[in-house]
Order: sequence, then structure tokens, then C-alpha cells
Amino acid sequence: MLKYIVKRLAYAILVLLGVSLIIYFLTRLMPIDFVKNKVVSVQTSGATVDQEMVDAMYEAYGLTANASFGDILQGYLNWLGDLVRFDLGTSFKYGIPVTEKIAMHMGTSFIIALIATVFEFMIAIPLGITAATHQYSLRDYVVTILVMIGISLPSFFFGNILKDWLAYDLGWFPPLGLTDATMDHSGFSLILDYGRHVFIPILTVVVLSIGARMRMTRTNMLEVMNSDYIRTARAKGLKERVVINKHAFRNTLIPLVTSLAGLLPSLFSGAIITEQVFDLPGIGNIALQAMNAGDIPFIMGYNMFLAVLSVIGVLLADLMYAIVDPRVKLE
Amino acid sequence: MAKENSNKGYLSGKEIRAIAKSNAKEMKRLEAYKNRRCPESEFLSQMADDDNILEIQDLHTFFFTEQGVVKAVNGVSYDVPKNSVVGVVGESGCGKSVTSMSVMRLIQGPTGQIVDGSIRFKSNEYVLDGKGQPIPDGDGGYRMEEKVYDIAKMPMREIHRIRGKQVAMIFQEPMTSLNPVFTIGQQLDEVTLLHMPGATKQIAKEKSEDMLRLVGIIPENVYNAFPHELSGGMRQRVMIAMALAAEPRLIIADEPTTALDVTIQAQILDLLQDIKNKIDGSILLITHDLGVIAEMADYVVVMYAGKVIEKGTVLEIFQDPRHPYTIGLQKSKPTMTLDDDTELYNIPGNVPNPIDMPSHCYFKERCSMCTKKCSGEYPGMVQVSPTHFVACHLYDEETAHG
Repeated sequence: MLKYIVKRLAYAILVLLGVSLIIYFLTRLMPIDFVKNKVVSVQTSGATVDQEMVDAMYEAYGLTANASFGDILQGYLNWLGDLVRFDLGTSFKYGIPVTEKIAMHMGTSFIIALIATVFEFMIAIPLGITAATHQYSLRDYVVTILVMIGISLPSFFFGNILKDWLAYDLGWFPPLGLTDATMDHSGFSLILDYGRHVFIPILTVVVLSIGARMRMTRTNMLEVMNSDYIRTARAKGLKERVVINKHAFRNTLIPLVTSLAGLLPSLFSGAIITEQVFDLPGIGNIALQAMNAGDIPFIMGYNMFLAVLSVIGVLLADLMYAIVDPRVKLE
Repeated sequence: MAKENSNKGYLSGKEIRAIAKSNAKEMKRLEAYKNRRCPESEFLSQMADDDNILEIQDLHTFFFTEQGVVKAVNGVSYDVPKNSVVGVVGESGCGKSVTSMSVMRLIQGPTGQIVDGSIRFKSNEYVLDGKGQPIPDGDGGYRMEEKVYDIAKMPMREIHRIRGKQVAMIFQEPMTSLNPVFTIGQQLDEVTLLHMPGATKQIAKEKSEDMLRLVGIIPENVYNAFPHELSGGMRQRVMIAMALAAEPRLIIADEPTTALDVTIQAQILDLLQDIKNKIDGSILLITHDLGVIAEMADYVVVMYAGKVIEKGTVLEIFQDPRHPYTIGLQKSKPTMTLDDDTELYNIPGNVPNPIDMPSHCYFKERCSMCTKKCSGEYPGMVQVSPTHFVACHLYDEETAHG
């Protein structure tokens, strides 16, 4: 097992090297120029910018060496050298180290995604099982139609509807942000205030994500319920409840648990659109702003961060497989 | 039911909707019947012959498909006497497995339903006191009583009285019939824990190990193994051990050797033979292998297209087959004495479409002994000896004689 993990981690380094190469060249190819953006914004405010100042800015941000392929390659190697020392550089836009910025905003996104994922699984799995064990019944159709509506709604649309209804019309929850600026909270009431602010965003994410998970559970459960060993379990004289909750559920769990590990990157990546709608200072929101500004170090750092999480997620999924399915042996 | 259609094989939209509508109605009615609550008296019954352990009478099991109603079992009657092996033969799709699944009530609803008929089973149960606990008989065991249930009328919530404890089943596919995520031990223990009053984990483990030894497995190697670590033959032995664990009165073996290679087949059959002598029960052996029947069975039931066409003792069926289909079956057996250039006999033609069964004898189109009468109605059962029955117009006179 340990040998397997070490081998997989060695492969992971190769994969990440390839990923970093692709990210770096794609980012350098982006038709967005941080300095040009900045110059334009200064000019629109009425001030004049002379060429000398622009050149100085290019020099300051290290964007001068764009002349030849060799320069770009040199830039990649420099960046890679910093990366192995866990230094992702300093963000153009935010002016602080990228790692610091990511760490600062990761928590908000992570908490929201974690709570949403827990609710997603807690709601979707029982729904999927009940839809499967009552296949083609009224219950199955109602559940399927409701979750299909959930899948089909775009998050900006559904998020805004919920915001309009629960925050503006009913006034039960604050519409925007993560904290209440007008009040000074501490201790438990601070947590309560956070909770009130993230309620609608979490509700949005949960409703939109239940569908896929429920369909997955239903399909798996149906496949398991039609298998020969379920017939054997019934033939033993076990009650239907035991057949479903013990024999069938344990087998349905295999792909679900595995998919859970694969969710790792999405726990940290932030919900870009939902965070925009509710103006939450999550990492998705921050990353989108950085992207618009052409903040090369942040974009590179953020994408590398997600790539590392994806690789770890895939490895975790494989390890989970070996734990829940006795037929799988890792070597 | 599909009507006679000029462009055969195709159904119009209107016909499909009509089928769906009538199917939905029937399935709903039968599902409600299956899930009803009722007092025990509603499914208690009486045996016609007290020497039998199982009496299937006029059983109809249908599948309500989108193309129409498939009458997989269409008026099947046969008995399983105490301490005997009854072999059921017939080609694929003749309804022999569906009959046995009906006895276990394992027909997959809502499409598959027992529509009519009775399955009377003499069960041997613990006498329960007011609290639902078995009463000790002062002799180390518990007081037992015999009750006759009509399994076809039992609601699903009561079916656990029969399954596993009274009737156990060995399935055709040992490779897929064990749950892949539980160990052999866990799956075996479950049976004892479920059916033996007052069983603890320790008792269950001992019982499971005994059962494994009985089927020729050294328990130390297998008890903690997962199913995928065993071969097909070993898994079938485990299935047999599992079936035996609750000491059932009737074991249904549904093609227990079909999925196994020939050398293992012989071992499994020997094992079943052995077990038959050890347990005080009966075996209902379902197979399409006449050799297996000849070796194992006391009585033989021959099925064709959802009906029983001939039944009798094993000697009667093998030495004096009466129905043209049974005669054909006997002829199509390969023998060692066959000349090199003689081709193996086969019965010409195919089974009629199960959705669209004719009203005359189902075997008429393939029969070489047809008479005029065969175009008439479906032949009734004719008794040719005290134990030998055949459904064929050729023997109609014999009833008239006696």
C-alpha cells in the first residue's frame, strides 16, 4: 500500500510538471496585459501617463522579457524554481504573496463547499435510494422531476431568485457579503452572523448539485438491486429493509465514496458564480477578479493549487476504492 | 394481449397504449394484493395428499411486458413428495425457473406476477408464545407444529416465514450470487442468526463452519475470505452450505451445475446426493440436463412453453416416454453407441412466441405424430399409470378405459 502511494506520488510530480507547463504558456498567451489595464484606468481618471512611466512599470512587474521564446522559457524556469520552494510570487493586483492571498480566502469557500457537500450527500443519497426502490412509481417520478429542475437551473439565475425572495422580499437573511458591517459581533453571535450570510449561497449550491448525485445513486442502486446477490439475500429470508439497507446499500456506497474523494478540488476551488452573486470574499470571486486584471502570478498560483488538489483527489479516490471494495487491491 | 397482427412483430402506437393501460391496471391490482395486510387464516390451506411437502396447482405466473403479457407459467401443477428428489426438465424459457422462483416469491415485480393458482407448502414452525418467542420442549429443542401455507396467497410481509427457513434455494450463477463486499462467514452467519432462535454470533460461526465442512470445504481457509477469492465450484459449495444452514425442508436447486465445468458438475451433484441422504427433506432439481435428472431424481416433470406436458417416476419418463416432446428429448441425448456418421437427433422448429400462444397444443407445429385432433383445443392431462401423466391427444382413449 505504502509502495503504491509513493509510486503514485512520483507519477503525480510528472503530471504536475506537465500541467504547470501548459498553465504557464496559456497564461503568457492571454490577451490581457496588467500594465496596459492599469494605464488605461489611470488615463480615464484624467491623468496623463508618459511612455517612460509605462516602461518603468513593465520593468517593475517583470513583463519586459517578452521578446523571444528563450525569454519566456527563462521565465518559466524562474517561476518553477520559486514554485518548488512554495513561493508563488507576489500578486500584481493584491500586492501580497499569492500563497497568502489564497490562504486568506480559501476558508470561506471551503466552509461553504463543505457544508453544501454534506447536505448534498445527506439529501441526495436517501432520495436516490427511495427513487430506485420504488422505480416507476409516483415517488420516483416526483423526485426525478424535482431534481431535474434543480440540475437545469443556472446558478446565477436560481441564486438571484432565492436572494430576491428570501433576502429582499421576506428579509429573513442578508443578501450580500459575509459579515454585517453595521454591527460588531463576537464569539457565538459572530458565527451566527456568518451562518445567516452563507445560508442562501449554501442553499443555492445544494439545490443545484443534488440532482446529479441523486441520479448517480439511483442508477447504482437500480443496478445493485437487480443483481443476483440481492436475490440471494432475499432468498435467505431477510426482510426487504435489511436487504436494501445492508446488502444493497453497502454496494451502492462504492462509487459514492469514491466520488466523494474526487470532490476534493471542488471543495477548495470556490463557487465562482455563486460567490459573485452573493458578493462573498471566497477564492472563486478573488480568482475571477485576478483573471480580469491579468494578474499572472495569481492565475498561475491558483491553477497550480487546483491541479495539486485534483491529483491528490484522484489518488484519494483510488485509495478509497481499495477500502470500500474488497475486490480492489492496490499494487 | 397482442391481437393477431397482419404485419407480424410490429405493434401500432394504439396497441402499445392499450397494452400499457391494461398492464398498469393488472400490475397495480396484483401489487396491492402482494402488499396487503391480512390475518394468517387467509393463507392457511390443506394439502391434497398428506405425503407431499409441496403441491403446485394450476399456477399462472405472467410477465406484463410492453409487447404484451408473457405467460411464462401457464397452469402448472406438480407435487413434491416428502424425502424425494423431483427433477424438472425443459428447454430454456419453458418456465421451469419461473415456477421455482414463484415458490420462493422471488419473481421480480411489478412486471412479474403470480396471477392465479396455489402453491401449498407444508411448513414446520416453532410454536410461539404470546410474546412471539419459541417455547422449549424440555428436550433441548423447541416445540414445533406443521402448518400448510398457500405461498401464492401469502402477502410479501409474511414471506420471510418461508424463505430461507423452510425453503432454500441454490442458484444457477454461483459467480454472482454472493455479495462481493461481505465475507463468506458474514453471509453464512446471517442465515443462522436470522432463523435459529437464540443464536449468538459464536453459535452462528460454529454452525457455519459445520456447514462448510459438510460441503467439503475446510472452514479455516474460507470463513474469512471474500467471494472473489474463491472459484466457481467453491462458491457453489458455499451457496449449498448457505441453503442448508437453516435446515430447510425443501431445497430448490435451479440449474446448480449449469455454470460449472464438467468435473466440478459431478462433484456438486455427488454433494447434493449426499446431502439429500443427510437431511430429512426434499430437493426440487431444475435442469435441462437429462443426465443429471437420471442420476438424481425420483420423479420427473417435463415442461414445455409454460405448461407441464408429462410427469411420472424417473423410470417411466426414461423407459416409457409418452409425449412426442419427451420422446424427442430422449432421442436427442448423445450416447456412446451412436455411429460416427449418424447425426444427433434434434426436435425441428421452435417454441411458439410466448406472447401469442395458439389455442391448440403448443407442440403441434414441431410434432411428428400429429393427428387431426391436435388442431382442436389444448389437450388435457391423461393418466397412463398411477404415477404417470401426459398431456397429449394420442392418449385420450386411455382415460376412457380407466
